[in-house]
Amino acid sequence: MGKSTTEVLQGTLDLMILKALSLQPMHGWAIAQRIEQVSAEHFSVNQGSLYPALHRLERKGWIDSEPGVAENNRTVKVYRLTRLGRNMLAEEQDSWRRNVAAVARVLEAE
Amino acid sequence: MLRESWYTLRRMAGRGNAERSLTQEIDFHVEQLTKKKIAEGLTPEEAARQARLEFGSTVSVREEVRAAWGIVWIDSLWRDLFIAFRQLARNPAYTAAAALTLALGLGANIAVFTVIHHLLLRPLPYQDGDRLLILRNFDQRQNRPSLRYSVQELQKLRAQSASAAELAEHHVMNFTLLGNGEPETVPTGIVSANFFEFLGVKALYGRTFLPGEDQPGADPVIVLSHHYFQSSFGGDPSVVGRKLRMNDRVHTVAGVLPPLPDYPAKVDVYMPISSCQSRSSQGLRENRRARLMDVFVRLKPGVDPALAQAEFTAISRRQRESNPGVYPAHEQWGTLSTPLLDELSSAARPTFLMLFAATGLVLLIACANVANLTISRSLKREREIAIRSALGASRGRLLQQFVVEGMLIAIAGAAVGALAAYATMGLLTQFAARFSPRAYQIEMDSTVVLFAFGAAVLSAVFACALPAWRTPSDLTASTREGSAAATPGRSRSRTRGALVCAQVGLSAMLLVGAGLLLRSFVNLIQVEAGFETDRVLSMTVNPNWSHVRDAEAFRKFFETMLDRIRQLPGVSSAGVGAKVPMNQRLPTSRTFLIEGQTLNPESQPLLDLSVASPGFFTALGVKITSGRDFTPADTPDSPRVAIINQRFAARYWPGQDPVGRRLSLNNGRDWITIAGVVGDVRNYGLDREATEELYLPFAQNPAGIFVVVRTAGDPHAMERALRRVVYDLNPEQAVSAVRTLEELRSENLAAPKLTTSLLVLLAALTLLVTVAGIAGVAALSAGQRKKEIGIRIALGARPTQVIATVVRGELRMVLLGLALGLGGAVAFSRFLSSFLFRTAPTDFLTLAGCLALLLGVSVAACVIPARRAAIVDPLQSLRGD
Repeated sequence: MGKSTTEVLQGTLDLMILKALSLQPMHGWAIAQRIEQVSAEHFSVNQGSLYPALHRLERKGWIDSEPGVAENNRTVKVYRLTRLGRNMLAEEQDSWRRNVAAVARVLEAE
Repeated sequence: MLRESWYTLRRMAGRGNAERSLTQEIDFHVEQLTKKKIAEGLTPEEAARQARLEFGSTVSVREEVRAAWGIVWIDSLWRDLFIAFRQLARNPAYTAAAALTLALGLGANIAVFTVIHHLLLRPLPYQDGDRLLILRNFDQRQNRPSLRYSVQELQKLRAQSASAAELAEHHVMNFTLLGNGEPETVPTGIVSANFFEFLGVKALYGRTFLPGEDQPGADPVIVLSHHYFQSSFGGDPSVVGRKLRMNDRVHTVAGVLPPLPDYPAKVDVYMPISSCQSRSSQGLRENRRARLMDVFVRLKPGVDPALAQAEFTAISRRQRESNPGVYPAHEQWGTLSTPLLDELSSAARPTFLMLFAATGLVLLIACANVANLTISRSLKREREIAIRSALGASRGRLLQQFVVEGMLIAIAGAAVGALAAYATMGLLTQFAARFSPRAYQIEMDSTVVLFAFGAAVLSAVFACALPAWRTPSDLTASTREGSAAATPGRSRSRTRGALVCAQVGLSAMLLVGAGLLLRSFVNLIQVEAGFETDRVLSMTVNPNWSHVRDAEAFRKFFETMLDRIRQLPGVSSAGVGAKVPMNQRLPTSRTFLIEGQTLNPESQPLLDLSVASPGFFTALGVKITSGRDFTPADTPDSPRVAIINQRFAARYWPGQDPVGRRLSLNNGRDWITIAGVVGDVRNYGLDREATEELYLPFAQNPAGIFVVVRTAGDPHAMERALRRVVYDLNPEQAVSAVRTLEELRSENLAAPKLTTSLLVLLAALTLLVTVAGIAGVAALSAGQRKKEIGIRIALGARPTQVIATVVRGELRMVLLGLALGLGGAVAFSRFLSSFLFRTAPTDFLTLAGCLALLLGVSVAACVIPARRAAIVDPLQSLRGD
């Protein structure tokens, strides 16, 4: 049970990262804040698990990064959606909507 | 996929940067989180605690990120390498012993493989080398050496063969070359104009022959071989276009060849057939018996060599049937076609495959020995391994660790071995050149490196990794026992015993092989060669045909030369003959008749024809056993006489004196009286029986260019004086191959001597390795049984009894190994029989000697360490641990 939850969560986390970055490039902390706001703390995960997800997405080429400057002049990686990432996000959003609709139909069919 | 590998590579390359930026990211995040908590009203300490909780373990986040980078296995490899270095450095005795033992095995294999690769495996440096054949006439029934082709036979073949795309011819003549320092005898390859194009060989400088340059009337041109170009013209390309005089004709140097196999023969110069007067003479072109040409064929693409062979045989049969006078009916001549690759490597194949088998044994022994060392060492590491595995190291991880350690050792061993092999390559190349004209190509190239690496990996796995690897149940047992002094696991000591047994067995095989070759070599150097080698000089005087135009001039030239040589102070006798011992390639085979005897043609009545002048036998030290030697009284006008050797006499006149009997070499037209009998001379190599030989007097049969001189003092001191005699007679006369018979003899012995020395050296080194291995195992098991030994001695056992109990196990393995090795040696020794001279492959003395030696040193290797364990003070060994 627990395992399948994390699997779902991981996929969802990736999706939420991509969605956050689709607005503008931002660093890890900002992404975490954005996700927390938007999900209204529905998903409470270790904030640390954000970073493996970011690096995984970077390896896949969906996002890339460059050094940026954050609050109080700290150098920190700023992530940006690539064109591939944008396409993947659109695709994922579509399939997510289709899945949700299908699940809703199944659950609401009486 | 590609992108991900690129990403991984970038992360590896910028490893420091990536790590630093990750730290910054994480630190920044945690800081911001803490700030946020403080802003929410928590104390700084509480805020930091909660931030850490919310973020999770930074260590595991880092681990997970690194996993996302995809470089975890490389990380662990680095770690393993580091651990392996530390482990090996901590145990230098093991590391050095294992690496050096493997260096011996790997080095020997690398050296022999290098030769095999270049001699036997690589394609020929000719175009379509696999479709090239050499053709020979051979007698299908009789055991006569195969023959070359005559012009007539070659022309028929060229006209009638459908499977040959192209034919080329080659034969060797010696010419005197003038215009480049002292007159020089140059072996010359006489070839058809297409010869080099046929082989696909391009000139290094200038050009090779043009089509039509072998036709009558073409301008005389020559092509220089690479070695002659280097040795006589200093590698100066301006030699192209130079004019050189060879036998009355001025030849233009058209080109220089690249380095090539000395095949079909080692020659200095090539010329087209039209430039060779004897090849162009009508007599040679019409005489079907004048078979002096090597004929090469390139098959059309896709032609089955067996079908081609059948076609060549059919052509040769038609020629026999239409010329019954030339081909006697009782001789069944056929055609033998041999692929050029076989022809160039067949002489080297047996020797080097035998050496490769020997070095294979050496590597097996080395691996078994190192495996035993590894087991001994891993016994001491058991606790380390057990703890690591208890802490969660998987079996795969542990194996990876052992493989890395093994690879370090094996690669070090391979490097040392390859260096040693590289150092001996010059010697080995010289050795290989005695067997194959391809030896000049030998070098350590990438294939050799690949072979060395492959062999190193296999040795690492079998000698280092697998012996160190323990199953989890072994490990649980050893942690439970908890003490290194516990009795060794039974399966391990069984493995060690089996390894000792294998080492002894393999060593026995190698030792027996080396012993047999050694005994054979001793037999070879003791063989009665039939001549004396002490203070005899031989030299070759190839007459300059511009000055020596006929048989009479030939006779006069040599007789005058010999007269003057005999008058030199320090010369005791001198003569000229058609053969000098051990400088011959093939015996001649002449048919003949004996007066009053009917010879059965089925029994091969053939004689080997020779020529000798007075003084020739005396100079060589060949004894006259009956009748007389040739004298100056044998002249062209005196009755025709001959001298035969003992072997000839014993076959046709068993138990009788043949002196005064007569025989004929021309079917009864002339009869020759036998004047004397001489001892047999091994003309064709010390390992070859003498032929049935007949000598004609030089005066009646002026042929033969080998001058032999017996001197009172150092023969080489006479060389200048002898040359002066020749140059005084004719300044344009060349002298070549000035050698003492002792030199010719050692030349003849060089190949078997080197083969034997190599094998004996390998056997001695492996014997050393094996003995060290046995001693190591015995010392280890005695050490492990220290307590038991102490108890036994304390209870009153005598040391000898204790030693006997301790070494019993090892001795049993040694004896078993000896028995198996003996069986193996007997089973495989028949493969050696072609290398053996007057030695049976199961020679009792050799077998017994080798076994006694191996048994003696093995027993000593078992007993000495055990004795050392048995004489310690029992109290000390009981208290220790």
